[in-house]
Amino acid sequence: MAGLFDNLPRGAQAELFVRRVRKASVRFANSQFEGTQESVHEVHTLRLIRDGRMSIASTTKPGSDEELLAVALETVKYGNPVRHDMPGPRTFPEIALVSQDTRGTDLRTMIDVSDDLASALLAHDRRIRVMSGVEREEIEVSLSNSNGFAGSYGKTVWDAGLGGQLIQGDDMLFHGESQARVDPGVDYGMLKREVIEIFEQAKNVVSFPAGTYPVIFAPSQVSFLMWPLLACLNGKAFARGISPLKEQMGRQLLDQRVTIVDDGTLPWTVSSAPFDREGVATRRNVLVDAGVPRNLLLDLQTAQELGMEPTGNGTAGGPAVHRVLLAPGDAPLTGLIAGIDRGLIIHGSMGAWAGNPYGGNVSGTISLGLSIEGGKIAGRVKNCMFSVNVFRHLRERLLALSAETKEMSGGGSGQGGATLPYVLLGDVVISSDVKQG
Amino acid sequence: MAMKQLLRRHLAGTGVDYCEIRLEESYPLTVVYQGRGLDRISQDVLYGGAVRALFRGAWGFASFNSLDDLPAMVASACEQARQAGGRVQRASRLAEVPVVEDEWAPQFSLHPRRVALDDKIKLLDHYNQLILGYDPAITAAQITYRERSTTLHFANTDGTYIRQDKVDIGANLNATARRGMTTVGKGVGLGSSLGFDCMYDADEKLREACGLAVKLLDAPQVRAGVYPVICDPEVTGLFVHEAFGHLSEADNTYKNPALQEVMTLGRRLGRDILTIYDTGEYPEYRGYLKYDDEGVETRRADLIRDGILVGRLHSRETAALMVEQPTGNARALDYTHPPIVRMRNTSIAAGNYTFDEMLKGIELGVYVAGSGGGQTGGEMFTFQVGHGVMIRDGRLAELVKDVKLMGNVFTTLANIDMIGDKPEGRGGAGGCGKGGQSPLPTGGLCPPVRIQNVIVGGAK
Repeated sequence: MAGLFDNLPRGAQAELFVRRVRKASVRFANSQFEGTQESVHEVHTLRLIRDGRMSIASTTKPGSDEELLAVALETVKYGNPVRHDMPGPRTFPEIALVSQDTRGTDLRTMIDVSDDLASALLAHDRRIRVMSGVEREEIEVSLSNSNGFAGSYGKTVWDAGLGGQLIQGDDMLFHGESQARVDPGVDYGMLKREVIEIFEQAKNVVSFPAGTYPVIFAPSQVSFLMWPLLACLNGKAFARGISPLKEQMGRQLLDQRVTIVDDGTLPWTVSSAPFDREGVATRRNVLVDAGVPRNLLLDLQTAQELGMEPTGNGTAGGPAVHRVLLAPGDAPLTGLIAGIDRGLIIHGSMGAWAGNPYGGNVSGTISLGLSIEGGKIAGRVKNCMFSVNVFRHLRERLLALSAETKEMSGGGSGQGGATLPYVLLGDVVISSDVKQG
Repeated sequence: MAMKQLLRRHLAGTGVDYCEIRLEESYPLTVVYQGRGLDRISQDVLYGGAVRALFRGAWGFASFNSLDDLPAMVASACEQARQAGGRVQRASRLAEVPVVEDEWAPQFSLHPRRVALDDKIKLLDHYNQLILGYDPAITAAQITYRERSTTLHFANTDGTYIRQDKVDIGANLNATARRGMTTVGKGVGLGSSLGFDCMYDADEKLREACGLAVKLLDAPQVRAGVYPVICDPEVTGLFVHEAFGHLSEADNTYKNPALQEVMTLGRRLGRDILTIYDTGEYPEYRGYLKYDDEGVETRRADLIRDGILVGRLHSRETAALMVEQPTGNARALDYTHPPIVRMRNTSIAAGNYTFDEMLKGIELGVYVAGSGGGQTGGEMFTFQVGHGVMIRDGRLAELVKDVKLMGNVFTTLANIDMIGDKPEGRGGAGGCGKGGQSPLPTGGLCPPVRIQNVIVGGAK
């Protein structure tokens, strides 16, 4: 490594990020064992700063770091202007992220776990085409730069999932849940119960007229409500003039019950890491405190541009979250449902990620929504779409946050994630092919 | 020649029923502009391989970076298949296909690696400046340019060896207009499998997009409801891909009797005017493909002909198990993934109606244009469109924004009552996602279509 940095032109800075992943996975599909996969991949990514510009080059070709440097040197004159320096030597508190149990589990055991999950759902209803899987990853990360920074850490990920598809005529119902942990201690009983309960509650289809209703967003859907806020609180959106929250920092933007934290320091949590992609220590970062936006997600570049301190959220593509925590409320989910005379609970949607996040509008087709009538689940709704404006609804129409929270996986390989409660919003627009009577 | 011999040597004596090796060397270049200037430039080398083995109906798969690992990975894939062999209930098998020996490259119009990086940056700078200088209301440009040149070697125990050179270019040129808390984005998508020349001459389209972004700041949200909708070719392309194309992928169907019943060949799904097909043809679009990742030569697959379901998209495995013909639709994003059934250029055959004829008779409807992504789940689909224009008494009226469409694919296909006479292709830097393999380059050639009773999400 030192050799690579020794060959840098005068005044240049470079950083080498190496990520090695050994992965094994098992999959059941269509209620049958499908097969296994194993892989070993290593990616070397070099970032080079020269004459105030930065370029990135990466390779999966073994032994080609010199070639990598040559490519980065070729492109750096076109690179984006940067004014920050790469960090020097520093130490970090250790975070427990490696499970020997995960490392030591063989494919045969993984097949048995996956088989057990699939069998439970199949036993509930043999018509369901069941899918299940277990994935085990051992990740090694090292980061070094020409300013003397050198750090490394390991992480293990155990990801178990269960889901299914039930087709009756032209009606197709999909649902699945997964849990990702550092160790294999997934609560398989809960995973099975949650999936089976949804299939049970969704077995009858009921009509649901268009209108405005109180709607409970399940944690998987609350992720979509967080999306505009996180996009607007991203330092890059601020630095590039895209975020409409620039004038709202420190002001009461949302209901006082809304507190959002990003935390990359939680032990035994797959989205944690001692330092970010640039060598900055991760931290607990309060983004929204009691409805008031306080802090941004910042990497070295955006922190420098905005004259702020980096928050340890650097990635190859700009600032990004580690684990988003939306503070829960004190009402149990059953109480939220019991309090609704006519409304919905949304467990699945399609397309809610599409569109422009900076305006706050989020809408999606409800792929799994349950009608609530007289405080009870009445059945599944179809051909419905929801629309909310996150800024307006979380300011004026937040009815409750549940006491229960659920851990949501991020983008795979332990990157990103969220711990979220159920959120009850009022006056949610529901479009439907059924007119209100 | 040396690579062919190397791969064949490793395939010899595996002792499994079938084994294949893919080796890939790719050179991706990504340039991103965000805000007011260049945000990121990265040039990469992707190098690696994958082995897939079939033994007594069960698959094993291994992927790797180092060619030194190839013998160990062949052994791993074969051993996985052997271990799994006793657990499969319905054994996988492969449809017979011709053995191919070929070294193939398209007639590139302008190979991107022959264009100097300096010239690429100059062109992107020009588009960036055009966006930022268009109007003070435009506060940011977002440009994503992606190119990837790939050399792919494929060999299997049937005796096939193919070397393919491929190019994929995709770009989004987007303008963001902002006033207070209101922001609106509009853009232009470009793409090709043939060459960098697809990136030229976009000024006029880009100015049009910038103008729309500024106008949309003052446009109201569309009022939620059920409308007749005319989709422009881009939205039609998204619809046919998301709503129907994914449902036609036979790996969803082949072990699923209930879905087979829903998708029974011969079922009427639309009016006589409707013909939908998927093809590896059309080199100017991003789904162009000569051979798929199982070494099968691609062919046009008619899915709906004259309103009747007549076919689906196959890999060798799905074709064998459903006793149908392989279509060359087994595709892998890269060497880290096994091939699965994916679309290429999914298209709707042109109809006979002019745009004015399609407008006629609509008392209140929406014309939707430009896509912002979509998703499908079984029979349900949804997609975001770039913008809408209300149709009132047979004429285009005011602009509307934040338009999202949803529906049931079977109802929607049956509700297509007019197909336009001017098909267009679609570009863009994105791609299709499935099974964790995204973004895979796909495209299509589609005309505008008129659909009755579409659910449109929006304001109260």
